[in-house]
Amino acid sequence: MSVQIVTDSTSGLRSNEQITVVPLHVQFGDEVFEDGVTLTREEFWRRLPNATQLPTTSQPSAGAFRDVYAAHAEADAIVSLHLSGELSGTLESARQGAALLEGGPPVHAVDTRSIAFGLGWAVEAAALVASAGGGPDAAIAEAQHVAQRTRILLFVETIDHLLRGGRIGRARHLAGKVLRVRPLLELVDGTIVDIERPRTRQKAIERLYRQITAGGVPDRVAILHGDAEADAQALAARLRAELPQLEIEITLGSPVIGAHVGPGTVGVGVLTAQR
Amino acid sequence: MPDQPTEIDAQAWRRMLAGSAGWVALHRDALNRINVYPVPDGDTGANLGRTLAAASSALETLEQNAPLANAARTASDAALLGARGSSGVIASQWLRGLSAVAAQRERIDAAALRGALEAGAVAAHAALSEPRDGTMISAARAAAEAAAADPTDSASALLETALQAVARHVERTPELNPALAGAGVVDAGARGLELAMRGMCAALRGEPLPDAAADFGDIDDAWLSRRLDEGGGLDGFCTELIVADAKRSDALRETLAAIAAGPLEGEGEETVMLAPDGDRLRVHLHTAEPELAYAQLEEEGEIRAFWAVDMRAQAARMHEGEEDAAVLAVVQGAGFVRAFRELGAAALLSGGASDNPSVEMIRSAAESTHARDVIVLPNHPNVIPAAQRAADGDDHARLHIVASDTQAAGIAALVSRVGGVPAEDVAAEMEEGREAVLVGQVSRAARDVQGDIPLRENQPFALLGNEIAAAGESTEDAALQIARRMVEMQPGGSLLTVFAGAEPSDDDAEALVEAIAAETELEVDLVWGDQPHYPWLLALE
Repeated sequence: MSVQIVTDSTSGLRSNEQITVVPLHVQFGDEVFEDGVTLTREEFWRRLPNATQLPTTSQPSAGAFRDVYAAHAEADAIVSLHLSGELSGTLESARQGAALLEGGPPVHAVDTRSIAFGLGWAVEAAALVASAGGGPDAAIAEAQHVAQRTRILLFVETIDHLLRGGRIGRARHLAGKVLRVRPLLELVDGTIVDIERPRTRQKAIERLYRQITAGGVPDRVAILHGDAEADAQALAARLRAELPQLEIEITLGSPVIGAHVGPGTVGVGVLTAQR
Repeated sequence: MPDQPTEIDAQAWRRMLAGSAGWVALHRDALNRINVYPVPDGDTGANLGRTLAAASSALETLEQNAPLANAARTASDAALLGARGSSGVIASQWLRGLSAVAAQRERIDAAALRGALEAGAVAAHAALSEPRDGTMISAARAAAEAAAADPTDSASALLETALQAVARHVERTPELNPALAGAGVVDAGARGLELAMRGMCAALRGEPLPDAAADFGDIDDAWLSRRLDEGGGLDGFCTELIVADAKRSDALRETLAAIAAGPLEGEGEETVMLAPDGDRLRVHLHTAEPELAYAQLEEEGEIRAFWAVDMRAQAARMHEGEEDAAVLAVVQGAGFVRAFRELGAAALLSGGASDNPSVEMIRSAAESTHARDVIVLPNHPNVIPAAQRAADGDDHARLHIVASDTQAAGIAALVSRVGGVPAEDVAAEMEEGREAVLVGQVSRAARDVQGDIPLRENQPFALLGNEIAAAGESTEDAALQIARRMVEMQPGGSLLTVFAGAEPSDDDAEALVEAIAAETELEVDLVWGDQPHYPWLLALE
């Protein structure tokens, strides 16, 4: 049985033989780019400080999904794994794309309730199941299991970017507060919730560290930052000092995610220990 | 054959008040459970109970042979000061009307009681601009009308007549207020008035409290969850203020109605109550921004007491199983009201250098959150002892005292709050957050002071802990000096929050922030605390 895995660019993954990544769009003024394809991470962050208008983002079209699905007509099934439907309309586009498909394999469009590493690791896990000959249900179950085990935590320099993009969940009440905070946020069941309110970046890093290690030694940790390499490294150093065996990946945030969280953000994906 | 006194004397009046407080206290939970109107925040029994208990316990401390006039005034004053929530305010007004008649006599006969019940109904009605039917207010009206129509010359028989009328009115409240019909209960406030009067009648007859509370049923589950989902009326703070030397400006009710309505989309407007008493004014309203009411009433007179509780948080704990510890903060200044509210304090209580909350007020505010665990931020050295006494033996909530001795330290503690862990751990985190911040305060000398740093009367000076750390030519000068000292003492600090008090101007604040930023590497965050006594509070973390 051959199962093709499809995801979107908020997974942080690149397309390969097993996985096809459909890019979201990021727009600077009149210029539209494909997330991570026609605009790299480095270019995005170089461009951002000089932009006269802040960038906006949009989901892939239903047609883009239909074309990707149609290109895999030889597969027995397609599993299309996406970021939380609370954060983007991408999943809707995927479902509409599947509906536009005439014939072809059955498409399972799935809301992983996560994003970034939570989505990326889920997709990788599903691809592993598929390459071992597993069917679509097994691949989806594995993806959901990994997404549920992954905590997505971040702190932002300012909540303004998230607010401007909408879809921010309960953390919206942090807008326009008298006191300066760098809110520590978590993606909980697909929506963004503020869990702590440190006031300095230093404290935010410390709180992030404590959240990461709260449930015991995690299986995997990855850090994403909004042009804040030094803080990302500081967090990694803090983690390595306590957990030397842990492998920690550090990456620059992708354009679409970067447009929503803004510069100065430090986020992590934490694959919590298996119980 | 029980007593049926034809007149009420001072002793009988005292027994009546004790009886009403006892009956309502017995039914506290039963009344809380049916609290629907104006918002289902589950505190009618608690609020009414606290109000009547305040009146009754004030009478216990009054000398035994005090005349009726004294007893009536004492109970009325205590009820006004102790009133909580809309039901408490209306009850205190009703009692004030009754007492106004009683205070002119040595004993109350049937004719006087008719007048008293009428005065009570009028006073209760006057608290709201447009009271609706099917509430404590219309129940008080029913009592007065039944009394007016009964020609008896026995005061106790007349009170019984009035009680029966209230009891009948209570059963009719669902017809009069559709919200009650939907929820499948009678009005909690009206039922509360009935219980208060039942307690009065029983006490007059010398009957003891019943052994067990009656049960008034529960709010219909489906209605309640719909109401909670809609959020209707619950987004905001149930807010009370007592203002002394009030100017009574004509536009006050209108202004407060606008503050109440604001983000509550019209639901708050009908909650505005003004209850004047001599030169004091008691104000009740539901508003999303209690700091606006606070600021408005500072213009109106001197705020002697302020109390606000988050109704959404109340409902979440009462009806939705929310178990996280609530935070109660003692505050001064509209800006600090806003800051503590925004950071998620569930209850706010005024206090600080003066007008400090009593042990009873702290307990009452803690209880109003409906939380099992309440973390208290006293925010002033003078409040910490009362908070600690309140924590000993409170039977409604477990109080955890974080020893914040300034509002700036209280903010640092609240910012350090974490969720999802036991209350002891939350309090410990907050205590740690408070300790991690260094606070400097700028004030003015009340008199000449000798010492290492001598001060002239009224001279600005800065405090670090309890030590005078600098004297200044201006408050800004003292603040700048203390900022330098704080950086030396805590070199790792990166963020300095400047809380500007009621005294400085915008220009003063801007100049100070610029001066500090120019001299140090610090990020400076200016926050208007509007606190009295301290033109500047500085916090370094």
